[in-house]
Amino acid sequence: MDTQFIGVGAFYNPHLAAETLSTGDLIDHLAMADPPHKDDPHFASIQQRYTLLLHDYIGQLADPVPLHAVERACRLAALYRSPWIAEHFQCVITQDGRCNVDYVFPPIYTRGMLERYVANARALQQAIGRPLVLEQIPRYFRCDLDEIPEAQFLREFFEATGAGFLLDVAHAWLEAHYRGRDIHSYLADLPLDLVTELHVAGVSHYSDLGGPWIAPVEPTEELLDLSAWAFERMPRVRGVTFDAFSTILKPGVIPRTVERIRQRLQIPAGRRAARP
Amino acid sequence: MNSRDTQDVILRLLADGPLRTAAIQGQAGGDPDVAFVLARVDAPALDRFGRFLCRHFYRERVLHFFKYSRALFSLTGRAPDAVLKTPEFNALLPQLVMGELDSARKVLALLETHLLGNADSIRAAVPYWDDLVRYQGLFFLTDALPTDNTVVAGARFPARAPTAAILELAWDLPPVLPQLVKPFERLPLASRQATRLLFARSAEGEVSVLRCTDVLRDLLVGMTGEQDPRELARPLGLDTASLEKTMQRLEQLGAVISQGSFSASHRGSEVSPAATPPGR
Repeated sequence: MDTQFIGVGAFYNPHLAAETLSTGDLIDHLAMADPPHKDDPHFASIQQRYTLLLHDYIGQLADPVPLHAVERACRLAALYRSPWIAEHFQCVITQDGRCNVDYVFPPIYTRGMLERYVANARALQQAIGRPLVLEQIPRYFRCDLDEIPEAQFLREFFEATGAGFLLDVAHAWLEAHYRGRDIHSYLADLPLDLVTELHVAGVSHYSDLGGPWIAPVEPTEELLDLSAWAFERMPRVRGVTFDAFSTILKPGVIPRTVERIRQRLQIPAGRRAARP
Repeated sequence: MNSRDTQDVILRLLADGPLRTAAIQGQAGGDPDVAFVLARVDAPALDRFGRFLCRHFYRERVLHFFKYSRALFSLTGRAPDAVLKTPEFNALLPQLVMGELDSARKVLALLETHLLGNADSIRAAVPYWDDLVRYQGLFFLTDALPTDNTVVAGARFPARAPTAAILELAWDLPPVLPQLVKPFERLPLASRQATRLLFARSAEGEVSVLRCTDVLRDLLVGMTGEQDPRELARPLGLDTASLEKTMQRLEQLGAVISQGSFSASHRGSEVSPAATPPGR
């Protein structure tokens, strides 16, 4: 059985930086959702100690990414020495710039959108010169405007661009939940063979939605089991990340969750993971 | 309608409460694109998601811009974000357009009622409470101003940006603000001293606050785009070098806008400043 290094990490939450730095070799990498604050006393140590992954808002690939956004992403990727950069399958701003829902929201899955995502992702990769991974986003409400299934849209996108798949298991669970699909069947349809990074997180109930949605909380045992199930089907995965970024996160949550992920996915700290 | 345009209709329905409400009630003015999309989505679920997004949008901003009031919760018993869970905010949701100034004003009115109503006991504990709420409120509103800080139509000279605002306070808040978000045993006290602050929003959407002297206020008030800043500066006792430095800073912060850059147009110039008005 081969072994390969698969990092396990979390998001960088500046208010928990001291705790993060005290966790020994538990955490391999930190995803950066925001640039470091200029007064952050811990960032220099964080930067020195961890592999940092650029997971900021770069731009929506439904449209060409503006030059200033590309330049900003280049600067941040260089600062972090990020091995890959992440974006989302999202389209949240109207073309005239007048409406911005300011929250992740997926595109409709059409041939026209796919062409736009492919062209803009290729341009972004070329401009930044680092591998790109894209994370799938769930849709809360039924929308009969798609021309192709989400899974096909994702696979064709990844195959056309060479980008990697960032699978978020909580997002997958929510998409299956709101579409009324069996989660294993839903996951099996996704291009798991193209996953570079796996996000593990929990979900919470929201009264506005009358049901669960994305939240910066610990994953349930069910979501950890699903993560493990999917993980076994990802021959190219390089990193597993606890996806929680919020000032409401309490001390203890990140180390406990990273430890649970390591145990459930059998990736011991400081060692290489056995891969079939 | 191509698929990118279709996506825009979905985004508008999510972000624009009045449009969404009217469309779901069949009163969207016969917009065929809206009708096309609405016929193909679960409209009640889209409405719930729109409300969720709107509440999330304002929660993020209230937590950010009212962080000082939030930090004083143990003294005041009033958490700013609690207003977003009230029946009054729920009733307002269908009227709100995310990011729109008028919507921000409506939310701010609720916040002010929530934080300043029947607040005598709070004022006794936090003497600068009213000023603090006004300071945060202006930050909140400035964030909602349009980013399109275009030059005033017909302006011949650099002009004060529509996003620039001046706030007069009875208390000198700036020194005390950083102390409020750190642990403290006794409330950090501000000096009772008239203080004027300038709020500016850059093209990138970053809001800055700086102290505003009488000279700076008078300069900004006069900058309508109709008069050369050097003419405005002379009676204020501002020399050319100081004016250039001030203008450069104001342009960077987004408090002043011009066709070209006032400061760039003057850098290294050997031409008499009086001979060539800037911004032409």
